[in-house]
Amino acid sequence: MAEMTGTPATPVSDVMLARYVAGDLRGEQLARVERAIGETPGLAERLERMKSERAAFLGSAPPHQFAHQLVTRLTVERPAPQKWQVWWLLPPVTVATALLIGVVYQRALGPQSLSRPAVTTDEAFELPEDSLRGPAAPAAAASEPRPETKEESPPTGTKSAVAESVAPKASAGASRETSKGKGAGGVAMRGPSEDAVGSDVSRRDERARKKDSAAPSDLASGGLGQSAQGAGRGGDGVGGYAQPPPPTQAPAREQAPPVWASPPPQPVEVERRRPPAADTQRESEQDAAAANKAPAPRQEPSATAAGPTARAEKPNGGGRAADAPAKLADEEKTSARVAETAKSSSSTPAVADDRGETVVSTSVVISRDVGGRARAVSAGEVVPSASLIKVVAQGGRYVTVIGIRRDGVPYVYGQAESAGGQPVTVPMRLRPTGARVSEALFVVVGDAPLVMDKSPVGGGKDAAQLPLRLAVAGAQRRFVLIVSAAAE
Amino acid sequence: MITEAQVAELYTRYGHAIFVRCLKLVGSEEEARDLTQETFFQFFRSRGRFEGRSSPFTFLYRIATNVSVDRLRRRKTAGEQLSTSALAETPGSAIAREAERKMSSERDPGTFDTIQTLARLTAGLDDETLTIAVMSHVDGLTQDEIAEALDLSRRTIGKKLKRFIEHTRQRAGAEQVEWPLSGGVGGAGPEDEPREGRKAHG
Repeated sequence: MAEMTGTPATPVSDVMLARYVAGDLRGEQLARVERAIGETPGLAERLERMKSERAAFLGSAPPHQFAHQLVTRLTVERPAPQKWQVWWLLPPVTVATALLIGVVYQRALGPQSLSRPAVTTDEAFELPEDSLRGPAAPAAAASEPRPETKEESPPTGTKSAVAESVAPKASAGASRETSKGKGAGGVAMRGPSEDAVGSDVSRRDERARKKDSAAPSDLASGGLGQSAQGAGRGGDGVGGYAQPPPPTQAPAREQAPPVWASPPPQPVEVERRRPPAADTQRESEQDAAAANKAPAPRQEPSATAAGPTARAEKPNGGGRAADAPAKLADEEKTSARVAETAKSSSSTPAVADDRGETVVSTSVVISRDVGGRARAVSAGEVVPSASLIKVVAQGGRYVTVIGIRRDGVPYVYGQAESAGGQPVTVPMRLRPTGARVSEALFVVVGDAPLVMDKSPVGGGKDAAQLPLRLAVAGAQRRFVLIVSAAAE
Repeated sequence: MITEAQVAELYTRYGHAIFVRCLKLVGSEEEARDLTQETFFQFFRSRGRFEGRSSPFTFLYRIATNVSVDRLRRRKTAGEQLSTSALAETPGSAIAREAERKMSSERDPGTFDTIQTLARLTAGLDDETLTIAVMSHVDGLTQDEIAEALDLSRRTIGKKLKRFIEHTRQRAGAEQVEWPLSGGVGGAGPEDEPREGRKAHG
């Protein structure tokens, strides 16, 4: 501390002297300091003083104590992250947080989440190829769009009214019956299976019926409307779309799908004919309602006649149906009217398949579109997306309705199996509201289940104009129909 | 993993020199002991920067200067500035008394009036430049002595001091304070240049 002690200037600073005391000097530096110490008496004195102070300092603050404290501090105190490290962490943390919030938000909203792009519903509607093979095909159709209702089979001896309306072999008598509302057909929407549509749908349709009751001509008498009166097991099940049923009845589903918005795919049920007794009873009810406009004493269908999903088995729905006989009559009339329209439609004729064979007849009926109407659909007609549609076809054991996605990849809307050569109804729903593109529908009728090749067949709205290059097994007959779903 | 033996060895060799360095700058023995520990703490925490290229002393000396000046910057009240009374009360510290005497009456015109001023004007300087500046303008060492003490070349010392002058001049202009090295804000003069060969002792 030469500068502090006021001693004469020396060539050795206090810093160098401190380094010398600490044994930090080497070589030339050490030699120079030692030489200076030997030549400068004052420097030696400073050196001695510094050594004594150093000893006193180390005595007051022992090295081992200091070392222990320092090591403890080094262990406890971690280096604080630098600012740049914090900023680098911000982007990934922000992204991760946003993703987490998005996932939680989407899960909270469920399938109706607005963040779910509509186009992805195509994938939801697609069926695995294997699911369409063999007898298990209908069951595997669970990933198909949810059909609104299950079409009731026509009475014995009569074909589907709609199917007859366009089939070359359709009989005038059958058509006449349909016009009177006697034919169940594709538009007589009351049946054991459709009665068991979920309560949500039922409530919605109940409101629609109330609204439409003032204007019967516009009454939505589709399966949904009828379903309000139906009774699935437990009262709120969705009937008619379960696994391939036994020959006499189909089990009801237990949960009702959401209405009109991205429903979970439902299996397509193979339509079965109802026992004649039920049809006869139904026809008589319709006749009575149409002719008298008065609530005829309504006999609830028995479980035997209408299956386990009959209205009589629904505690709530049955009571509601009993309280609204007039409304029910209006619905019956509307159904008949729609059937008549469908019958008179000539725009959905039998179509020749790609081999030139006139083999099938088909018709398409909107059981209910998004506007709440029930009507027949003409070939090539554009209908709103999310419409509930029933495709009635005849000519083969298996009927499959296929949609062509925008990228040309086909996917199955629904498939049904005929019993005894009767017309087959494939209930289905077009892509839900929010679809961005139109799409064409194809009906494939054959004696073997459709095995579909998912390779693209064509794109967008022009798909209907392209050869349907579906890999169809065996004697499948295919033809191009019908409607395209316009985006809402 | 740092062991207590390693710390104890280094502290035994350099602890006192670091303590004296801190004491001279902050004027308080208690603070100096605290800063001594802080100096060794930062040394072991940033050993990667040391890399053994020079003596541990020079590295510790730089750290000690920096932490001491930083402590001075944090002092907000005038009473916390370099206190002669605090220096005088330092137990058994003739060094402190000598420092008080030197800083109060025998300071060169070119040195700072207070270390506090230097501390404020040197904000933002790197450790090495700050240490060189303090050794030059507070300790009164020549560039040769600084170069020898810190194991640096004289050329490096000159560059660092030049940078220090530019930095403090800008700071003084920004803060509208008298630039201590030339007697005026932003002024320039012979004192701007680092002194060479001047003996600061006594």
